[in-house]
Amino acid sequence: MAVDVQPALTSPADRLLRLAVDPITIVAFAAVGSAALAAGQVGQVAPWVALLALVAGWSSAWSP
Amino acid sequence: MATTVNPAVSGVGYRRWSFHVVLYAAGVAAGALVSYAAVYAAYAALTYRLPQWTWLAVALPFVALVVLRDLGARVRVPYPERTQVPEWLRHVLPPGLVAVAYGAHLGIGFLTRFTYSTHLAFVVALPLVGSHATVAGLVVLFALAKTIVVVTSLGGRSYREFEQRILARHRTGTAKQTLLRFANAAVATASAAAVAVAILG
Repeated sequence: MAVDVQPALTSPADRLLRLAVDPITIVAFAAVGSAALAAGQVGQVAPWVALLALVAGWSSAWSP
Repeated sequence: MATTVNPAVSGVGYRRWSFHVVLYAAGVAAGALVSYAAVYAAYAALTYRLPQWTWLAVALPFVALVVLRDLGARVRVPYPERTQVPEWLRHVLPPGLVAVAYGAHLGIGFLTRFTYSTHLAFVVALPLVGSHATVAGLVVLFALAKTIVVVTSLGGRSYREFEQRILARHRTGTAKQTLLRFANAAVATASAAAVAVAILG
């Protein structure tokens, strides 16, 4: 008997997981992070590299 | 693919899968440290007698090349663009070792197609951080971010259900993916500029 998974695809957990990997979510994080570092006039290297680490790692959910 | 670190593919329970996720993240961190070691060796050799900014002069053109690629320019980048993690490993190794191997392969980054300009900028900026301990922390951040796709790929125990969920969660238009490439290009450019200002001071 085939399992009907259509209802499960719209469960709150599915919506949350889809949002977590949505390109717009990643873009929003990148924009907020960049703006925060720029506005704070962060002059150290490490915070910017941290932003690169997070955006690069998260974006790898999608093929460039 | 990293999404195959999944109970629906390996057949393991959720507790063991959680352990595999940790192994995958550890593999990513180890792979990233391999890339850092190679880049740091090049940085140390170059800056042994030359000032630190010469590293920027060497590295930034490569970052610019990949930024242009992210913006849609047809440029050749100095790493493979059409390879995937070796799928045959899933048939010869237990799931835990597959998680480590895939993580390491993707953590090195430049062995597969899944690399944005931010990844290259991240790796070439690491030697400029100045502290190996801080570098280790940044590598852990990278590994955690790279593990997100494994966690979000969780989709039940049957392969059919997993496949349907993956297709549903990764259903998106070309415009969103283009925007993501542009965002990576912008972050890589902004970060490179900020790091350059910090170094040139």
